[in-house]
Amino acid sequence: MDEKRLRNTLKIERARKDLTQEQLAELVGVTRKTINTVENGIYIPSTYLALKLARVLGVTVEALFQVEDGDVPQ
Amino acid sequence: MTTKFELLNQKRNRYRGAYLVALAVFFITWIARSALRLSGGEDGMLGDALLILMYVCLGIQTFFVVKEVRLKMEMKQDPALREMMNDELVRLNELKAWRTAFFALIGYICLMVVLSLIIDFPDLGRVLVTGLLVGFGAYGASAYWLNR
Repeated sequence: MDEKRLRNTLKIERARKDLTQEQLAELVGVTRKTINTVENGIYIPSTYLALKLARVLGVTVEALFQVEDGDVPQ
Repeated sequence: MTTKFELLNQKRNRYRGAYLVALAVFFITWIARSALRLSGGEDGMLGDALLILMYVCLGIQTFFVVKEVRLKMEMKQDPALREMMNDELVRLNELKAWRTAFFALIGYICLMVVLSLIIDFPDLGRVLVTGLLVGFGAYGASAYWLNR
């Protein structure tokens, strides 16, 4: 249904903060599976979750998530 | 380290998996017994054995439904935990599961329409209950598969 993918640096930022998927999941109030699917680009999070992730990891949403170049009109 | 929340999530998935296995066995038994009824052999030993198996499956299903309700009550005490267990991905997956159930029911109805041209179903109630089992079964299996 939805072939869009959102590139992200979640895994890198999580590693930088020395957090496991479970710990990050608990901090933002979602399941570990949600973090895992976001990290792997399978699930595109809501704006609310993206903002929470960015805040917990201490980065901006733009630094955490990027739209694939082909998806944006030049 | 596995958190308390993750343990609860795993427990919920185990309950749902066990419930689904019992439902699948119940469904197969139900179909087998319905076929026996159509052929007039429902009252034999095989029919009785299938009936007992159906009751056993119903008992197992009830057991796991009660377990999940108790888990939900435990979650009710902690709103943060409840929110985590039903996060946006879980809710999205449940919507997808309802869509699967809808298409499964449509498929079942189409199949029954075709079959009704060949077979004269003596018991419409059985056909309807089978439809309900197909719908709820498809929902449960899909939700379990997506959230596992």
